Amino acid sequence: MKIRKTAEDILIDVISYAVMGLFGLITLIPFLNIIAKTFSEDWAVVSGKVGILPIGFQLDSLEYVITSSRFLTSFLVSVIITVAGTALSILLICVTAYPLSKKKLWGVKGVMILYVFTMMFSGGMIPNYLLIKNLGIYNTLWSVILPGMINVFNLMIVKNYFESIPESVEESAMMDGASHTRVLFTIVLPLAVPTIATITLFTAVNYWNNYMGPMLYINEPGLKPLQLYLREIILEQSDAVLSSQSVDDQLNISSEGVRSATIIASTLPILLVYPFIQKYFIKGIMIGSVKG
Amino acid sequence: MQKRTKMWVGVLAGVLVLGALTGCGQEQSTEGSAKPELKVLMNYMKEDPNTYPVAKDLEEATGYSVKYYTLPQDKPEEKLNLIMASNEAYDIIITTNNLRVSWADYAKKGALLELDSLVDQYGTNMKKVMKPESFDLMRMDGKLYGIPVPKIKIGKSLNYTSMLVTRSDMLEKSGAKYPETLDEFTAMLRAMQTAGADGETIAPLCIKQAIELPGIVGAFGVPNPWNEVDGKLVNRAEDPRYLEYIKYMKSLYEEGLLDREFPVNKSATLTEKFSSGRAAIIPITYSEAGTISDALEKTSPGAELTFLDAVTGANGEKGIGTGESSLDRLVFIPKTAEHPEDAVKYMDAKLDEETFKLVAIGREGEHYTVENGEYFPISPKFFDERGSANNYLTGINEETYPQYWQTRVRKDQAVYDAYAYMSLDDERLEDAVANPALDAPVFDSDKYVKIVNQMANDYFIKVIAGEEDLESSYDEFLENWRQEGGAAISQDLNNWYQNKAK
Repeated sequence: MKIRKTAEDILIDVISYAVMGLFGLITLIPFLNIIAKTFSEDWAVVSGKVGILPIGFQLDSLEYVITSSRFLTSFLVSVIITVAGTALSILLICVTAYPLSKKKLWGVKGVMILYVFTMMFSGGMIPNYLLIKNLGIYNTLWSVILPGMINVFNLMIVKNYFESIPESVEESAMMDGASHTRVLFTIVLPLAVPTIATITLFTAVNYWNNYMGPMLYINEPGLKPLQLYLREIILEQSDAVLSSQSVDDQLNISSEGVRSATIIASTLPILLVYPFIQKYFIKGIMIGSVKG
Repeated sequence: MQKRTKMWVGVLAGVLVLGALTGCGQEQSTEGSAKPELKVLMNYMKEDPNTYPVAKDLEEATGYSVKYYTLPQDKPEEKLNLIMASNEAYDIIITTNNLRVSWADYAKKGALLELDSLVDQYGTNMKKVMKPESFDLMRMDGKLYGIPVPKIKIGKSLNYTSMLVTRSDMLEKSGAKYPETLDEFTAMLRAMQTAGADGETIAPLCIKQAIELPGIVGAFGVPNPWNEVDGKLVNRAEDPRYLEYIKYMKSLYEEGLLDREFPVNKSATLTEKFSSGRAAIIPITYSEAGTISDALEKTSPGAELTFLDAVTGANGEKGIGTGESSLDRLVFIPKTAEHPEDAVKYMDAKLDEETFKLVAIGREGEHYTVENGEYFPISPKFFDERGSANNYLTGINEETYPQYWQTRVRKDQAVYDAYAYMSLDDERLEDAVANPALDAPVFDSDKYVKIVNQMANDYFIKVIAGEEDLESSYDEFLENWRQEGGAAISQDLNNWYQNKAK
């Protein structure tokens, strides 16, 4: 049965689309500006004449960025961190959430309280730093992957979903002789795929964007991830940094065209991937609210 | 469903292998090491210092293999504090002179190695190419706690590096005379109001938050942040002559001659307005001359950069201030270093004549050419392979480096012209006023310097923009400024200054 739209409905629709569309376009403009600066010729960028369309056309800046070894290394490092971190994180969260979802298991409540405690209180920067150092992972990629690998928020979401799976399903599998591991991997996980997929997404994006950890714990230039590299390139022009450099150092600052090209080169991969995974994000946001 | 388990196990295995690979990246076995591998922490460098060509050349020349680590670009002092507090075993730490207060702090707390004996024993080259006065800059209580990397001095004092610049076409259009006195400068500003692109009215003078204009502030007798008055050093904030300067700037603002947006302008904004004809005069350092010239060529062909020399003020005063420190970078060795003797030997080897030339400018015919005793870079190889070489320096040959260094400024003819105008031209050198607080030692009160400077700058910007009234609020400001550390700094500095004069 189709609900007929009244004229009022249509009017509201039109206005909503128009207003949202306008907002969307406004937020798009700075991005178009950066794209324009990437392809414009240097003199135009410096004189501030570049608007939304590029002036002149050159691929030099982009080429310079993409072939620069530091960009490629940082990119690779970011990919390694994201893939390894996400895989490990999901695996450990699943394996942790499963026993925690068994309400009858002794000590489950206590362990859960400990986990939640860590969500609310953190040791602070210096104790964390000392912890990382004493674990011997300082200046390695583990210092970025390990902290926060078991995100308690995600853990709770997965645990809640596991709890909602009827016991009878698991019981029947165990009656047929399945071990707990078998039950987890072959029965429970397949049922939880939407949840897991969403968690994977959130975790992956978190790892990709993380730069606080690398900034504190990684000194080796070859191990700095993309976000850190991007930040350093953009900071080169900030007045705070400029005033602390000798004029000699200032001779080496990259031009604004190169900076824009770096931004584009770093954002493009995520931009390309996002449309495909967007629907999972939208599904996932509602995941905690509806039971079963 | 065995496939799924296999898949998870496969992923897990792959991940663990990756982790092991990256984690193990740290341990490197040195083969047949008579020379151990050194760990060097340096300030931010755009490229990866481990893969930059200079690193390989250095290793071949000195025989030492080195692993480089870098500090972050902003607030490196915070990261350095963390590193020093956790006793990391770096053999050499190189920082910019900005971290001098941090260095002094570490030295006082006993975290740094005393280098007198090591330098006497292994530092033959160092002592040959750098003067004892330079070494004195790295002493605390008479003991040597680091190796200096001095700035280049050409002439009697440090050179100034920034000047006001205008566009030759706009100067012509306005019909004003090239200013030699303060009044002529003001007249020029008034004439330039109509010289904007497309005939629009503009505010010709465009600046950032740094309100002390080179060449103008000197006309009021206060070219440096600290100036001598009757044998005592007085800070600008306390100097009535500076207040006259502020009143002058305020009058410019009210007349519409000073860009109203100056408190929020950034360097990029200045360049934009200048190249598009919406500003006529901006302060620049010589390193910026290249990009601006290029932009001008395209937007206004025929327009050239015309530098504005220091103008003479009402009382016949004139001059441009110079830097506060003769040091470019600081090099020091923490007590936790594992190979301090090798570190000093390594730094000394780098100052060997051939090796130093190799690091600074590369190989003749490959990176540079020599003409009449002057060095010219071969572009682009010089800038690709030696552009960031200055980050590797742990000491310079005070005699030869000024010549080598000029190769870097030849990156762009416009940059070189600007540099030559500011730092090599005799007339300009005459205008340079030596900073009386040059190379003052680090005091406890130095921790207030940033705070009080920011406070003064904020206050005077408000005065110029008309938000604060100078007459009524100055006393309160001065009281605050003194209390927040201004008085302490002034006292320490003057104690040192009086003793120096004896």
